Amino acid sequence: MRGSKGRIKYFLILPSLLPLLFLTLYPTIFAYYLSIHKITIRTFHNPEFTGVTNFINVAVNYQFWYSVGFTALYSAIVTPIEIALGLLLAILLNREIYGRRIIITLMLTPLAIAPSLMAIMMKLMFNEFVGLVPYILRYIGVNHNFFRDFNSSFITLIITDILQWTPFVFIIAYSGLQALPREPYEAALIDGADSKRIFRHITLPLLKPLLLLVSVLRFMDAYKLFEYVHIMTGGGPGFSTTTSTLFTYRVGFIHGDFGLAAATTLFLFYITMVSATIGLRILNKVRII
Amino acid sequence: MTKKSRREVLGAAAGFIGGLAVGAAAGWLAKTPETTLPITVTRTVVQPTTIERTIGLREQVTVKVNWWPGPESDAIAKVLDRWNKYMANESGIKSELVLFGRDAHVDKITSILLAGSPELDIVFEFYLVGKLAQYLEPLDQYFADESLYPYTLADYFPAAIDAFKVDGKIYGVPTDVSVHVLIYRKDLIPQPPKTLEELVGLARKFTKKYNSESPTDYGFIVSGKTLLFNAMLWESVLASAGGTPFEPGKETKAVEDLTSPAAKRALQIYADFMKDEISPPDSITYEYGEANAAFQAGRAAMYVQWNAAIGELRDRERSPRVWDKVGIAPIPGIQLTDGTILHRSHSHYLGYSINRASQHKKEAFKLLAYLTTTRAMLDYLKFGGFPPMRSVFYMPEAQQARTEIPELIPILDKYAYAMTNHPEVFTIYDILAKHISAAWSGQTSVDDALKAAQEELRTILK
Repeated sequence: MRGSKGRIKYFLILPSLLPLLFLTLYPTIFAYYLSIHKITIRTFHNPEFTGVTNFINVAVNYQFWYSVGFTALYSAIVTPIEIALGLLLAILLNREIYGRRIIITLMLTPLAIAPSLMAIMMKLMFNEFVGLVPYILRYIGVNHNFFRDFNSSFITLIITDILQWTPFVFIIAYSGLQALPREPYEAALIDGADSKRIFRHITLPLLKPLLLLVSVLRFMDAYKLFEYVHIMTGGGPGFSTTTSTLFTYRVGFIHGDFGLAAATTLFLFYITMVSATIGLRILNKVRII
Repeated sequence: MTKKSRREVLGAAAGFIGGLAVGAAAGWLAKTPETTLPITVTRTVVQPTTIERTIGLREQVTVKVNWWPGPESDAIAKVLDRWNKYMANESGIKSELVLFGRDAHVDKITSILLAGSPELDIVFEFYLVGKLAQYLEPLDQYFADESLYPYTLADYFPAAIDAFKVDGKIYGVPTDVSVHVLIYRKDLIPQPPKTLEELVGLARKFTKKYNSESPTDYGFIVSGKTLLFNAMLWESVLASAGGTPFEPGKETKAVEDLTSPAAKRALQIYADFMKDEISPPDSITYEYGEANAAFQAGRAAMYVQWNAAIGELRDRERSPRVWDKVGIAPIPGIQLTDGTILHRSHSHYLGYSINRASQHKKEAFKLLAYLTTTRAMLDYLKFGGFPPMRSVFYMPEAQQARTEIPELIPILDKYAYAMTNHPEVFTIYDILAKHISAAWSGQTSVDDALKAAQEELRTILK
């Protein structure tokens, strides 16, 4: 009786497990299949087996490594800025303020906007002829072009990311602050600690696991950057703002080389897996998981 | 079971059954019967008797027609409505328009064709006929059969039909022509520039940085985004400068000539426009829309653009500042030894084909045959399309509807060259865009950019 009761639980999860496996395993296996063939639109029904040639082509492709480096740099810049800003906003709003709920609701609005729409909006906002931002800047005597070269384009992409995703960090940090126990704060106040010491020695250590978790999540999310560069800069000037996902998209959908695109995707998967493993080890050390 | 819970269960069951009934009724009402239609013709003759005759039952086939969403699909929808209204019953062929999102169109139709799905009978394959030919039905034998095709293709501009040929066989029919023109402010520039030197001189003259009295901020707009369509725009300047564009059968020569003096000159002009701020600094991210917006705002004097922009620019409501000031001219070029000036314009043709996996190829061809007639294409033009058909272009009705036609005819006739239909057409222009935009933005020199493009393109075309 106990044996059959033990087995039945596996049958009960099968209806959801099977489709899930199909939707994840099948594309993965197909990606490996594509990656070891020369397969394009024209050779789709009779591909040529090429072994590891596609992987070698990716490994020696300067533009691929540039895009990986650029994406890592981008993620490494936006993540700490968003964490710091999000935490600051959470601390500022973690008190009794009139209209706090309305302010929080408005702050979360960028999260409801699709990234592609956000990119279109920002491209218009920063347009030198019709954009609101350059208009205001010119009014105060500042003449700046937001897309004139790599540096300007890069900063504009960063601003867009911060505007859209800082609210995500904010809401996580805010929830964390709300859930913190009161007793350490009361004890600190009794001992005469000022706000700086309280933040440094109580708030930050208690929030550290949560902040580390959201940092890893944001970093991995920023690494998947596609919409902003595709719409705002096209990966240019040249290919200077081409991210790894945009590179893969180009290879697969514009050049139509499915084999090379699959190999690129798998390469990126392994890079991400290594990064995630390192992240998980850090999280494990601070006892989050 | 308590009284309350029994009521809840009964209520839920009643709701479920009611929902099923409503859904079934809606489905039954929405269903359109597709089969036999008796046709009755009533004719009144001189004698005061009425003759009634019933024409035999005819099975009706639905041909699924895919199109490029936007003004083109708006236009064809009206043409197909007319077919359905007047021709469907007699021919037994009904058309149904199927659209995908503009961004996803190419990916979607490629997937359908690759899968060998008969989901679509007619596919709008854009200009990818070279890449997709093996999934499309060759049409030569259909055109050769007078019982199926009693019309003529001679009305089309020859380059338009050539664009849909692969290995000498016709795989599609053109519906829209896109050609490059120089758009300029005719109120400020009475005579458009004919040579590249004149273009550069005028562009500088109408840039405020070099002429404080200039009515425009910038003399020229470079569409500088790393985008394959922008590479096509630059290619017209390349060709007018004496360079070798990517024409059908000349792809290898075009790659080898990428480092020619003509190519370097064409790219240097654009690089100088950006460096000297004759083009707006942000134009490094401009594509079609932004370039139009800059001109519509009255901030720039000239630019190279697709003819599709002309309708919008000459629309009073959409371009209130410049609608009556828009001039069109051939792309300025070099002076040849015989004294004439070389003008060349990239042109490509959008069009449709029959899916090889279609289960209604003959019916699809009959519909296609109608769409090649002057009447159908005149309607298409009036509703927003731009068919490359001489007979349509010369009609007063067409010229009234699209005022730019008289200006475009000589460009199409004398200066336009057809874009390559090589299977790697997208790859070619994408690689070109990547490298030349690096030169425009000053990231790399003109020489290095063209050399890098040449090396990468050699591996694609080998």
